[in-house]
Amino acid sequence: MASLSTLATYNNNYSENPVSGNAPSSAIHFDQLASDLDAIREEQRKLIGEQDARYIRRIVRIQRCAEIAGRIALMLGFLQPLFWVFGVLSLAVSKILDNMEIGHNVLHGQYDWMNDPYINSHVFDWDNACDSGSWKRVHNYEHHTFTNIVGKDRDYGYGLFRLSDDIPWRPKNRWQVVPYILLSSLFQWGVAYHELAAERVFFGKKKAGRESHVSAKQLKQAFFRKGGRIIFKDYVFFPLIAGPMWLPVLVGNFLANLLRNLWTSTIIFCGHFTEQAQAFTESECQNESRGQWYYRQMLGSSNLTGRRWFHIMTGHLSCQIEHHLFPDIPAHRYVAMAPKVEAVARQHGIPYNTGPFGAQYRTVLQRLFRYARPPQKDTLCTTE
Amino acid sequence: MYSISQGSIGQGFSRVLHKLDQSLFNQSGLQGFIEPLIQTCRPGWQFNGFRSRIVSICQNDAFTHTYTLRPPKSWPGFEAGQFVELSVEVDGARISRMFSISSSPERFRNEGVIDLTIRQVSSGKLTGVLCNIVGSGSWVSISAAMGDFTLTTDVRPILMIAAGSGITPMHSMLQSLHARGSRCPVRLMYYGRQGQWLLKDSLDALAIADPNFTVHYLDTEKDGYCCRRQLVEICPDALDHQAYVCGPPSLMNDALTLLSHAGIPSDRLHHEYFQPVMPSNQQEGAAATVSFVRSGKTVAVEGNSTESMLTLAEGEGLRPTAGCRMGICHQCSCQKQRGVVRNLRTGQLSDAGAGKVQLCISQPVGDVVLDL
Repeated sequence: MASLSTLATYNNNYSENPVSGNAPSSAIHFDQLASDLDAIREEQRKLIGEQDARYIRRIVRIQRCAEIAGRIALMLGFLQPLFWVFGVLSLAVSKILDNMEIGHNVLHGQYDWMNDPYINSHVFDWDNACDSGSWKRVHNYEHHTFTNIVGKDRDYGYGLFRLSDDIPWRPKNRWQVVPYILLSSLFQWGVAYHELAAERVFFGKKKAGRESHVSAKQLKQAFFRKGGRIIFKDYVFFPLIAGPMWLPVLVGNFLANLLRNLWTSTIIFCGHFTEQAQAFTESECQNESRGQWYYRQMLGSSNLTGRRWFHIMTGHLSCQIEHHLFPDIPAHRYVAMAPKVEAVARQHGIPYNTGPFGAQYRTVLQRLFRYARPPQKDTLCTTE
Repeated sequence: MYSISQGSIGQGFSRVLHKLDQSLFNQSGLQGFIEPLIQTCRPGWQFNGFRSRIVSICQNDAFTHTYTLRPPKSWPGFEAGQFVELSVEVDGARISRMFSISSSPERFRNEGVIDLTIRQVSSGKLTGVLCNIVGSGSWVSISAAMGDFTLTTDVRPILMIAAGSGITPMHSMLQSLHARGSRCPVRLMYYGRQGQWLLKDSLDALAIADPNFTVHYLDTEKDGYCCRRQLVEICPDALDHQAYVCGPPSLMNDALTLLSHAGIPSDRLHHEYFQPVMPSNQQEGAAATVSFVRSGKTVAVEGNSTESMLTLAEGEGLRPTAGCRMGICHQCSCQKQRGVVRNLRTGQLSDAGAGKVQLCISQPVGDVVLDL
């Protein structure tokens, strides 16, 4: 059993201090942890059925209506400017629902059991520049298997930000807030380009030991095909059919995309970049048992508290811990599972990282700025 | 030249439309986009199916029911002996299975209804629960009629050999022949166990109404399975007949061998295999085969083997998409056409029909056919 190194984070939540109530990893019974969490999973899995089918179809219907209403309202902006404002917001909501509560969850295979011809991970594609096949490879497989392992999980910083001491400091990191803002604003393109960056398709030398599942040619084809379709839809087709209203429609689509990008990136960064989320090295995670895999998922993820509408709008990534423990359980069930998971965490002395959105996001920004500075300056910082 | 350019213009236009469809609605196209909206006012609506209402349900025996359905006007009709794929939502999941239509096309033309006579399979995902979840007035979806197990224009006398629910397509044919006033002599050898001849009342009524039709009920416990002695006794001039055979694989193999030895050429030997009935016949730990339909490969699995289907596929030189190899990422998920598998994570057994499986955590129990 590997012990977690102290490379973890600045505010090392994994402490041997009995007052904090968190057990050192050597004291955790991983087999028992696996069986406790498996029991929670099995309990929910047995309940999956008509309720879930009705739920996802209802969300899909709401998304369709929001998209249709939004696009029409944008075109009717000439009647009343408030229609245009409503159009932007409605379209943004439809894109957010499509990407998060519907797209991300359906592509995880959470609804494959329904045998629906469209709402399944093989056929479904989302309103996002990222090709769904690429997403499934880098997210479902790489990110969820190698969560927060530095060097294996590219989602940990996206190769753009330095978020822990595991990554050596370079002068460019000082200005990492700039790529952060750019990535957030253009998030759908960042996500689309993610696999091509990992495979060094356009720039750089291919990383040794990296397993490629598809050829560079296929990646490029998929990237341009999907990206082309998205550009055509939002920036050519709808402006074109709007006739004289083409500019407000184009600007409206751009703003809706921007709002979606900012919202989704913010929520996603809160999932793994908060103060308490831990990173791991590859060697620590060799030959992981099921219990150890569960443990790493818990330590590497953080939750957000909020109302029901908030959970839905985050695609239940507000329950990032539960999502990482049980990625193929329909996401709306995570809210019910969270108290049970928290109880298991407490029993085993494992930190359960949760908090309100504002507080959690503040720690993400703090982390971004903290690791922008070179390491020696860290020792002069006082703890919060 | 004119028609070629017309064709390519048409093709080009539909390609542009298709690209537009994909661009505006992503993979699902317009149909996928609006299907959930239509389902608000028409529950159970599917674009790729014909939404039909259950008019009535009649219980034939302890395990069998006949469902009378009214297909929509757009349904293209059928020939006697054909089957449809019935799709029903069972606890949120759409389950589809094939069933032969047991009523005649003539009745459909007159009354606009078709009958599906369905026998319950104890652990069947659909048949096991169907009578509990649908009732008169429920909506189900059916496909267009399929199959080539149908009557021909041949005027030769007909010999039918059936067992179990293999009687259903033949019942349709018999009703059709009677409705048409056909004078073609028909002999039916129907194998079953005492009290378990499906649609017996209907067959007896047909035999009374039509002197050209005779039915012989054979009790497999008393008379044994299909053999030469029975054939010679019931139909000594089988050579001049057209033969129709439908039932469980074991009966079918015996009957087909028997009939071809009797001299009936293959173009007069019509048969249809139903999906195998499982899993009570399956023994866990017995040897099995896994067939990969699209690659044309089959691998034999030893009894008590603990290998997952992903390992088996890779051992055959196939390279299915795979990822985490521990049941998390669903990259290796693919379609199982039929067969029972065990989920290595939960120990649960699947049912025997079509469905999705994750190769890395599934183990074959008995023969399995994969769409790989």
